[in-house]
Amino acid sequence: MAPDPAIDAMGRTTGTITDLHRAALHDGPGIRTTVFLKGCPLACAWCHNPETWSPRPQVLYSAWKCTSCAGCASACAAVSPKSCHAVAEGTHGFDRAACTSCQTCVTACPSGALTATGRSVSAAEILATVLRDRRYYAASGGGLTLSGGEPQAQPAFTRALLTLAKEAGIHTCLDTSGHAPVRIVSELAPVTDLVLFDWKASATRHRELTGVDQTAIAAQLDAWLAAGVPVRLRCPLVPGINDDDEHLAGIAALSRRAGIVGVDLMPYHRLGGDKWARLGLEYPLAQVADAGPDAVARWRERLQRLDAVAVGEG
Amino acid sequence: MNAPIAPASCDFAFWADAAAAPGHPLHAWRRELRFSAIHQAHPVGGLEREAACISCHIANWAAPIQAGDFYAGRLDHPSIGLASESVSVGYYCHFPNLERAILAAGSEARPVLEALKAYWDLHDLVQQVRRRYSDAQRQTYPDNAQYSWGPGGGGLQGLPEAFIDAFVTTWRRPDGSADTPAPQVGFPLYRIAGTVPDYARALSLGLPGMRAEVEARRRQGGVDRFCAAILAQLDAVDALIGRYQAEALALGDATLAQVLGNVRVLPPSTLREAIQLFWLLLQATGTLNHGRMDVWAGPFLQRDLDAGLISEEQAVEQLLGAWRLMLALKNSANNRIICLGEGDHDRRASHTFTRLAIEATRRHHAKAPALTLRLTDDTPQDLIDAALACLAEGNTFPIFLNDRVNVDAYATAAAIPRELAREYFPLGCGEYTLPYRSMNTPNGTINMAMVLLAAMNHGCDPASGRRVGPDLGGLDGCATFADFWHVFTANVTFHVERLAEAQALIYQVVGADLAFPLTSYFYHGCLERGLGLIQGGIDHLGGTLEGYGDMGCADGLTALDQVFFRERACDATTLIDALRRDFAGADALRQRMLAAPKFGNDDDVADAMAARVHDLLCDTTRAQARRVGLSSYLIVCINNGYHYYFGRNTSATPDGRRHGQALSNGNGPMAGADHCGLTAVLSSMAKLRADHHAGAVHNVSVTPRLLTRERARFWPLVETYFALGGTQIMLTPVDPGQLEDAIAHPERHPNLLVRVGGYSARFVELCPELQRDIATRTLHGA
Ligand code: SF4
Ligand code: SF4
Repeated sequence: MAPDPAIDAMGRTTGTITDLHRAALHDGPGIRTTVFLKGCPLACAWCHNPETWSPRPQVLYSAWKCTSCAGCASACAAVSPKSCHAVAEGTHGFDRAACTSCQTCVTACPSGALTATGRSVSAAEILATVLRDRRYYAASGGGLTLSGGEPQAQPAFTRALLTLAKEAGIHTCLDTSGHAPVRIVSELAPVTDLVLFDWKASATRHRELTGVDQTAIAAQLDAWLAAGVPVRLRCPLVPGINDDDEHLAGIAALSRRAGIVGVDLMPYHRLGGDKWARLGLEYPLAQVADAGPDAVARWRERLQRLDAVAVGEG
Repeated sequence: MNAPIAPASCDFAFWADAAAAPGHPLHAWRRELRFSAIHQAHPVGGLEREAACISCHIANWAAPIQAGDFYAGRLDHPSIGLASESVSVGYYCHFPNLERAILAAGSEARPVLEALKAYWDLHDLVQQVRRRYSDAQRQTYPDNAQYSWGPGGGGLQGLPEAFIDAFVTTWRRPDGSADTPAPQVGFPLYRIAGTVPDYARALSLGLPGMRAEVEARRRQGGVDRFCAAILAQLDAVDALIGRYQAEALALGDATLAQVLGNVRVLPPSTLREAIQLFWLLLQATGTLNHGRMDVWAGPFLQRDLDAGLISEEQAVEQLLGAWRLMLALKNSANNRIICLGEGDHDRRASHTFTRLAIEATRRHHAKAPALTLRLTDDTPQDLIDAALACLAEGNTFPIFLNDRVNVDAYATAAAIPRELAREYFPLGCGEYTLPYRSMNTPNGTINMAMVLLAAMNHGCDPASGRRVGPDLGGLDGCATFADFWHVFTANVTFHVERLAEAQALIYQVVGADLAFPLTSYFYHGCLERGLGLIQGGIDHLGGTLEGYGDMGCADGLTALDQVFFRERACDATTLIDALRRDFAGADALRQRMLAAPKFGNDDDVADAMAARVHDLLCDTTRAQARRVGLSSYLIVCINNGYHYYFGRNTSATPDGRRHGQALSNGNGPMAGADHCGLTAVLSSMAKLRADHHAGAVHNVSVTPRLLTRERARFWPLVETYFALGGTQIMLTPVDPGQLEDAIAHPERHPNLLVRVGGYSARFVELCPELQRDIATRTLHGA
């Protein structure tokens, strides 16, 4: 068979990812390979993957591993006009604004306190890895999931990945915040088997909690449903933060909408807080306790009273 | 008075009689004295001495029934005895116990105990083997003291845990003090291990039937002494039953007395009688593995249930009674029960037995017995689900084996017909054998990381400078990787050959003295030939060699190829020096070594090297069988703690591993080297051939949730791995204790994966606060 030039070109499309997980069991049906794309327009207070916000590679710093050896400071001084790292009196300072992410210091750090996140890869490279687990997908009803970050923030790359996967007969899943232009939907819908659509907060509090309005997101949801792509709603719930009546009523209403095949409640836990610190960010929910089984049971009860259907736990 | 007594002139029979009195200072040693007296009374050795000694040992080993025991058969190891494998091999003496007793003894007892020690120093099997070593062997294995519990050694794995505890704590000492054994490429294990009697036949005959069969053979002539020895051992069983009956009656347990009375005179007719007779035979033979229990016990169970004699609940109680006795053997390195698998047996009974055995294992919640399921195409899903649910409760059993690969693979590896191969049975650590047909004692261990270092450094360990093998070349003399591969191959061959010779020699020395009559009786061929199982009685006398650190060794070779030979990062002296100093001041070099491709990531380069090393080791080992006169000699890649032990004293290696870090485990990737997820690990492993070795194990830690709520997602992972050629999988649920331990000792748990929000992370990489958080969460069963 002659190589299809359009497919070839898609294979050469590059994008920036933070990670690729094989044997992912929680990102859609079956055993999946999940690719985490870098770059996201939102900034949710409960984000588990804040390292995917910036579209560019970054350096993460884990203070608890640092021995204050100052190796990074001299390494950076050799490549930058002024070292971004400074160790004074046993305290390590990191001027992230000045950092170009050249990763010289990462290689120099002997204790693993500095790590890099974000690398540029081609769609073909990713597909080659994805295809290796074909047998696992076939046995479990799994496939490829694009997550992040916001995959739609790299539309060409996302489209290339989904198209190549579909061409190879692999089930595709898009995990999205929905914060992207509606027109992208028509490009992606033919190559997307399932959308995992985040539904994060009530319209009233959406901007406060996620940094953006809900309007555009709601419009995208409509577009996906209009395009006939099955949608699972994914709802991160944080006790006392976004589990207000208005939001739960919204979830319940959506759960009954045609095309929405299920709702996953994602009870909040603090396990992502660690990454905020590595990025030098303050974790806004540091004081919020985890949502235990009791909280989940109460949400389910409230949703039931609101006639929600097909509610599960993600 | 109180002058030292020469062992030859010390009359142990006299002291044994005296020690029988409860207040006597030697009373605690009465069993050992009695046994020594019998040994002493047969100066010529041979079958008569063996029969007399084993009978005494059977009585000595048996401990009184305790109230509430469901079966008679508690055990208490005497410090001196004769065992086929439960302690060491042959006539054994636990010298540390004896030496402690000598120190504590008063003036009357001390000379007798000293005479006892001197006597057993002379009758030590290991010394006999070592006296017959070649020069090369003697140089390579200069001493065994550090691997043994007595003068001359005795191996580690066959020993009951109580005996090895002291020794384990010395080699696990974290400060690396003087007790740390010297680095070594490998060492022989002096023992006979892995007998599995034909319980199905034994139970169908019963004790009277066995006796009749042996007597009939005896009348045919030519094997009189051998048959007499078997009968003597059966007499000892009979005497033991008599003693137990009296004990049961004294405890007011008429039912147990009745069960014992029945099996004394008739073949067993119920599950309880079957298990009771099985246990008596275990006591009489000293065997530690229990065979296809679904096949030999399943039909009894099914009949009892069908006849309404017992309920399923009662059946589980009866199995639990057996499980408790097995646990009391204190030997978690053995104690294997197999259920399911290919074969012509009663499927219904097998499935019923398996289901209840899983339930018993779930309730038992202990580290023995090792319930293992051989999966076939027609294994019922409900049994798999029950097994996963059992694991999810924090049990480490059942273990799963893949018959679809293993039967054919073992047929090829051991060069046996498929009909025989389908009876394969993995011994305690995973080495395949054929119950009651073949012997495959693991009699050697090889540390592949040290083989690599020796090949690089002219036969010497870099850190200590100690010679661990002959100088067959070094990295400095190699211009290309192909040159070095040649040196590496020569090193592998040298050590495998010496260990194969040691294996054959151990069989020879033991076989010259011991027939193991009753055990042999259960092995096909022995009764006809009138020969013990390692004296030519069986058709398949083979051996196995335990390989450790294979995959880390392969990663080391990949790194050498890439960083040393292709990129020319440094010269040989610099590299060896970096390893010697555990990479101190050579961080950049270590980072380059670490960055080279690693096995376990489905990486073609790393996996090709892994397959090459695996094939070299397996084929070289397999080729020894003919040379040393065994029916097969095969590698096993097992997981029993030696990778940790060897790692303690193995210098830094070119894969970037630090000095003292554990070697890679089983057939799995080096801890921490795999970073692409479970399918990648499994895909790498499935690329390794299975038809030239005798078993490889892989351990995967999982959260309990994957085995319960999410098992519909999880199980296809294992199924696909098996479909791709995987041989075996051990699923270990992560428990809070493990997480606590990982917080305290991160170096021990580099591979522990936990799910953190949207991603899975290596537990030890997380910040301390988060680790505590997760440990608490797991504790609460989330
Ligand atoms: S990545 Fe480069 S610029 Fe940034 S801190 Fe490290 S060495 Fe300096
Ligand atoms: S090189 Fe690493 S350990 Fe040293 S001061 Fe920098 S971050 Fe800390």
